[in-house]
Amino acid sequence: MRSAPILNFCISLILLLALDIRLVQGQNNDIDETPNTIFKKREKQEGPRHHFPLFNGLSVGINVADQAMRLFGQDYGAYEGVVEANLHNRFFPEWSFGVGSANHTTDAELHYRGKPAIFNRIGMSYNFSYNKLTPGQIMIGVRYGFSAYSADITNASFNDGYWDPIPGIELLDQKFKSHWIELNAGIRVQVWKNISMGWMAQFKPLLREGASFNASPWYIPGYGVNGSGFGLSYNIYYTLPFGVKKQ
Amino acid sequence: MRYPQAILLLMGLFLLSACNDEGCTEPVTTYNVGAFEKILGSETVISSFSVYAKPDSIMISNQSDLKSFDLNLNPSTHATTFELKFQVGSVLITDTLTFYYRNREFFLSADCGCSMFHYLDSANYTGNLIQSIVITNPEITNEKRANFKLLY
Repeated sequence: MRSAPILNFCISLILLLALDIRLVQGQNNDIDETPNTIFKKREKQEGPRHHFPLFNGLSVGINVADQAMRLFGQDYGAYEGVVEANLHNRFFPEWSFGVGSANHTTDAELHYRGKPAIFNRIGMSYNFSYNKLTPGQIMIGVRYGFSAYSADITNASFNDGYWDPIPGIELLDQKFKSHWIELNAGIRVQVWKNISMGWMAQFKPLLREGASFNASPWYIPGYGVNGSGFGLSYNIYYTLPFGVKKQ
Repeated sequence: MRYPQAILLLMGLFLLSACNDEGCTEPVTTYNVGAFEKILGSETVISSFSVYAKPDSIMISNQSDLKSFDLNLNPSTHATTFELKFQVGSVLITDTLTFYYRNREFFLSADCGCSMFHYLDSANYTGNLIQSIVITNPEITNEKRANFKLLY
């Protein structure tokens, strides 16, 4: 049942990435032909591998994807921040962190309350257009995430179709520890001065679900709904005004 | 912001809406899975069998496959007695089989809700046709696996 939406998601993603690459490359040709030509000439003359310094700035950001989706009725999500260094405009080591929670009631009136819990992620992104003077970046990345959290499950029921149903099952204070890997791909564009925005599509294999004796987690802070496997982040960044080479 | 960039960002946001729930995709009901096995030298031929757990409600009706059958344990108690009726030629032989177990509620997901897992502690039987029972796997979860063998 999950295959059709996942297939649609993958096709959309591939098309979007293809479109992005063409657009960003188009921008390079249109806008930055002259500076790139200068770089190439300089590279031939001097032979530097990177046109940006090792430390090329520090950015802070927030992920607004969950907050945006809450406007459409999503009943789980996280407040998430990120700190990211820019090395040679090529490597972007980052630490992201936040607090995630869920307050979900199903059609069958089952209630899952994921208590607010902290999560952390560390990882790095790679910018393919690292030597180009362009307002856009095409990036891939990998991250490792971890969260320890708990949840209350109330008003659950069980019915095997033969014996009498059992209503009103309560599983309180279920404790979980989950960790996962994220493989990311996406774009980022500078929108105004030190402000940039971008999205990243994520493939998120769970390394450990961390089920308790009585429950599997439904929502994992920083990861999303257990079993989803895919996600999107939508970040707004502010680059701190020091150590940045003017573009 | 340039127009194409705005489109890209909006498309990214649009993609967010593609992530949705798909309903329950895993089994919720748990089964105590059994099989019949002939004792060496036994000449009994079971042509079919039926299982009752409640007097007026049949759980298995005239099944001829002896290699695997599923029993639902009562999730509200810690023991369930089954009445097994064997058709051996033209003769009907009845045995009762009782399992003693512990229950464990297990929340699977918001879409699937709760399941009831069991742990088999012991079993006993009347020996009209059944000669022995072997619990091969006492853990009963929603991952279906063989749990016991009835020797006849």
